[in-house]
Amino acid sequence: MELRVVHYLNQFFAGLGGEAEADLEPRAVDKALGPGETLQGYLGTAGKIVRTIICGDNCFSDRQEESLAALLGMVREVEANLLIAGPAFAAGRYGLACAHLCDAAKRELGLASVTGLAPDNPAVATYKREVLIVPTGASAVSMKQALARMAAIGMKLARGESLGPPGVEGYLPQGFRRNALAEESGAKRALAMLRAKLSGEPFVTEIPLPEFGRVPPAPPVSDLSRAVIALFTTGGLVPKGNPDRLRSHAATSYGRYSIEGLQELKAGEFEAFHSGYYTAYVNEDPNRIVPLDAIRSLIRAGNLAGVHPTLYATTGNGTDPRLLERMAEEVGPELKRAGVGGALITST
Amino acid sequence: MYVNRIFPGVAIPHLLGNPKLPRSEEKVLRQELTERALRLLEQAVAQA
Repeated sequence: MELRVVHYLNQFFAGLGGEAEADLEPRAVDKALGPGETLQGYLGTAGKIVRTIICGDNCFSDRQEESLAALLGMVREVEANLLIAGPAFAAGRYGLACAHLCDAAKRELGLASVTGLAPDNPAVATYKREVLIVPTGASAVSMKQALARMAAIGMKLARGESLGPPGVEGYLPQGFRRNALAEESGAKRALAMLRAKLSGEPFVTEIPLPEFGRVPPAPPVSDLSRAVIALFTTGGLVPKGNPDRLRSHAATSYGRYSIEGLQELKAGEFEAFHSGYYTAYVNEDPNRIVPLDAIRSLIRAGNLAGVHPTLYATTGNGTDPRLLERMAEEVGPELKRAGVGGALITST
Repeated sequence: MYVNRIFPGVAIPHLLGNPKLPRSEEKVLRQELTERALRLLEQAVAQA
């Protein structure tokens, strides 16, 4: 059976214009366009690009919900078996659009989907678990190799064939572990690795450990009674109703919440969104995770100069350390400007 | 590994509190723990 493929492009790769046309609304053309022509070559007779769907980068990022709904409608109309988006290389808005669309197509239409992104594209950190991403170079120089892999992987996915490991098939690791039968037992493989390691030969670990890097510790606060401190928590404390929709595990965002003028955190005004601990005690008294009442007492007693008016909160279970790095990079300078001397981070 | 800027709380679901105590005692406990945690900021980081 010939697979019916829909290809997503932004205004630029569709040949409809550059940044000036970035507000272009979703549209469909029932043939391959631009990189799609090369992609069609790699699909060969096994698949046919029946439609190219296009959206301007700004349009997608500014009006995400309606753009996404329109694009998904265009995919549904042609009864596609596979969605291929991009590749978007290192482009920020385009990359996010490709990954978001692939994720939505999989989630809402149950459709096989694949995109191509540079490993440092911001969309990778957000979507690598949900979306099949072929790593590309930073620019369109790597177009051909990217399209060839996207075509090969996309066709396997659309046919329901299982993929081999990321390094073999050529996609970014999604953090899954799958059972597979090895020829030799774990003991033998471990000893072979150890022997290679001891004799300085190359070997490939079967369980790569995350690298957390090292951060130089901040110098001490010389006198707490003259210091302003900031409050952080990884305990998922948010205003009642979770307005920013912080995820209760594997957080992809963090929230900033004003505690200016508050003497304490009241039950019913704040609550914990966190799937990794029993949150009833915190919901009953949110000061148990962010001790604002105690902080105010310490300030009144003259033991502390002040507290930063914003509480920074995320969920710390299964959280990608890169989110925390981003949080530190964004919040750090803000705290420096505000003259904050130290931080209390409460973690569960 | 022990780092002297990590302060152990009471328990994971009530890090700085104890639901078994009357509210007024719990507040005193929280204030003590919070101050002891903050005092760690006054010393240089050492690892052991």
